[in-house]
Amino acid sequence: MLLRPRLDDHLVIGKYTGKVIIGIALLMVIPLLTSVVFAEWDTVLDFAISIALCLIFGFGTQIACRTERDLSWSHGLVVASGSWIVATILGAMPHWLSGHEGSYLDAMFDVMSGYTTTGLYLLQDLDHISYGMNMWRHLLTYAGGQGIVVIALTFLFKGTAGAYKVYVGEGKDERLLPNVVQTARAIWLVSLTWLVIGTVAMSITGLLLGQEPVRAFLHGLWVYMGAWSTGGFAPQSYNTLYYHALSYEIVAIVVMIAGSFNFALHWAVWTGKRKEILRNVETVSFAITLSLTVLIATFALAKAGVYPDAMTLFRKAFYQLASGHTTTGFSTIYSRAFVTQWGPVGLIATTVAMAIGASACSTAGGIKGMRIGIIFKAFMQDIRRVISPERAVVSSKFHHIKDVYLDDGLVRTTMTITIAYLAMYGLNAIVGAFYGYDFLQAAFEGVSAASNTGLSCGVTSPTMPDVMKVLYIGSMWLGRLEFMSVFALGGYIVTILRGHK
Amino acid sequence: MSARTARSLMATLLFGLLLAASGCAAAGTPEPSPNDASSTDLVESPKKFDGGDVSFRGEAIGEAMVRGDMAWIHINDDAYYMKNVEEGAELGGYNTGMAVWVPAELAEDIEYFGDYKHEGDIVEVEGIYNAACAEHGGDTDIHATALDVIEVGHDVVDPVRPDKVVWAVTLGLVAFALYLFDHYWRRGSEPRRR
Amino acid sequence: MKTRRFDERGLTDRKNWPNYLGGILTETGFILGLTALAFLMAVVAKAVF
Repeated sequence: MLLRPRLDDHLVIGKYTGKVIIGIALLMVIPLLTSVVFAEWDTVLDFAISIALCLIFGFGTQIACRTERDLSWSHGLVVASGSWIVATILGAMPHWLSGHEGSYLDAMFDVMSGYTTTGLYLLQDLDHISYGMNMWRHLLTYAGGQGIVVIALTFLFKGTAGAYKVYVGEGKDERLLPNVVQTARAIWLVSLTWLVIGTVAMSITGLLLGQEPVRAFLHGLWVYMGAWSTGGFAPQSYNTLYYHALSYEIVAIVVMIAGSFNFALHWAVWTGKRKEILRNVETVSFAITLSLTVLIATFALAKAGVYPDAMTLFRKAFYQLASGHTTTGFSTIYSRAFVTQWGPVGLIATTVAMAIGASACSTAGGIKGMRIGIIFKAFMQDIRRVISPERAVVSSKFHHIKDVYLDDGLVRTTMTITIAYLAMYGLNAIVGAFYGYDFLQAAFEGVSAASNTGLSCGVTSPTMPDVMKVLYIGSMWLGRLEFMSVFALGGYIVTILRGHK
Repeated sequence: MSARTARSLMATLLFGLLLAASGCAAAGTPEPSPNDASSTDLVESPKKFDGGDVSFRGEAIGEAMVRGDMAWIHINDDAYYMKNVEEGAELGGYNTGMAVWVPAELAEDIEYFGDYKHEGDIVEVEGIYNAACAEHGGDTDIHATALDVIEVGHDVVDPVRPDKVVWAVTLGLVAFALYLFDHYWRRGSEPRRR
Repeated sequence: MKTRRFDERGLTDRKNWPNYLGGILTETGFILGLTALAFLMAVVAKAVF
């Protein structure tokens, strides 16, 4: 029996959603200042209007939803998923006002793609957008990778017990340190340290490759943000093909794979458990599946003779696969080249890599290495059970920071989420095929959206049917929040409509 | 909230989304590519054009990245090569173009590169198209031996629209009023709580 | 008073940084290892075909 929420429930959800939106308004100050620095006055106004709207919503809910109640678990999930939707609707304002979007839906697509660190976009004439707008695109992908709630948590939620519940709703349930706020700070420490190192490395590389200092710095910062958050946005329409250099590609690969690691793994390695990187179920699983998909793509491309020598083959195959597997979405080939050069096997290998994705509690998407590892272990355990004597107890464990024993409950939840991802991938592929796209291409693009990757083989475009745009927005959102908190929001809406008193 | 208000709220929300979705019907006639073999053609049929001579015209965008005697430039032959969105061009899809490897001294002839504040020079290059260039890590590029500036670019003025100023000021004031209301109400109610 | 628990200052304490940087180098090393493996595959693939 579903309980209909009481007024108090609405108030507490409204209040915390409002706080997250105030956080979005504060975030918009950075692109606004960027535009002021470069004297882009039209863009300054776009951000001023958008900030005002966010603040009106934020302060409006603070006034309307006055309550002292703390969040419960279900509230936390509803706030997490609900605030992503509100943040998308309001965050799309600068995109729409810029005049580069075909419709408000397109603007929302781009913003959801940013928050969820996907990287697909519908913005047109990217090569002529302002620095402020580019800052906003990359900042929202960086913020989304951290978790927009984590941001609000750090600055706005002064240590309430309920804050942890929203944090979990955003798909980050690791506690690096005993306390949630400290965990959020440790996550920031890791991200900001990498931000400094990554931006410096990319800017210097850009400078050496012939960029002007200011552009080298801005591109370095933005490409870092796109890589670390496994987002895949880049400041030019050529994506990372723009830089034409092995050095830039290597730095990008290091940052995107590091960005796809579990924050708990970072923390373990950073605090002295160096061996963890070789033992952890997620890094082991990632290394195996990445190498396998690279192997398939490399041999398929070599057989087809697409690339003239080993170096070019390595640079193209490994970069796209690493980008796909970490769910980043950077590319150094044209989108359509996946179809016109790589062919079916290349497409399939990349699709599989994207579908698996990288680590849990990171900025990456997809089914995730943890689940692949657990399912593999459970599978082996079942086989061992079959061949063992009937009374033998067959136990199995995996290593994630510490040894964890497999139990049926864990395997069951793992399977549920995995099946949810597979269903989402399947649905996207079928709907794409229904609209007349080639099935393999529709599958590639559908998996790319639902796994928050952002590689495209040309299906995503401003002229794509609206139904598919809405479906992709929904997939990105569900994929990023790992279904549960979105289901909680669904449950909340259902109970409002027909729950029992 | 009663079930009825909730339902009507939902309906409004869905209606709003539909309205937003229908907004993308507006389509003008975007500028077509000036090239016999456009960048789209080159990417769509790599085998047909690979290794052949091409002449490619479009807007120089971004910057020239000089590497020794040579330089990388990027030329877009998309809907915006004559006039970009900031100048009021119709939306006509994504940017498309080609990366061009060109002697640095030829790249120096380019005065304007396209970005937010500039519409870049329209240039024409002659050279060899490589679907997967052996020299450049398999990149799809054109190795140019000649470059002509067909039309010099220009600054793009970014007019501040008065209606946007009105909106920004009005909404800003409303937000500030709400902030003050929230702030003082909370402060006023604080002693009673404790 | 000394406590073993991390506190706010503890996280960014100067004596933690060599350890953090060591962590970053370990991560980078692991990633470059995977990269080298991929290069090896490309060499083998080109030798085969």
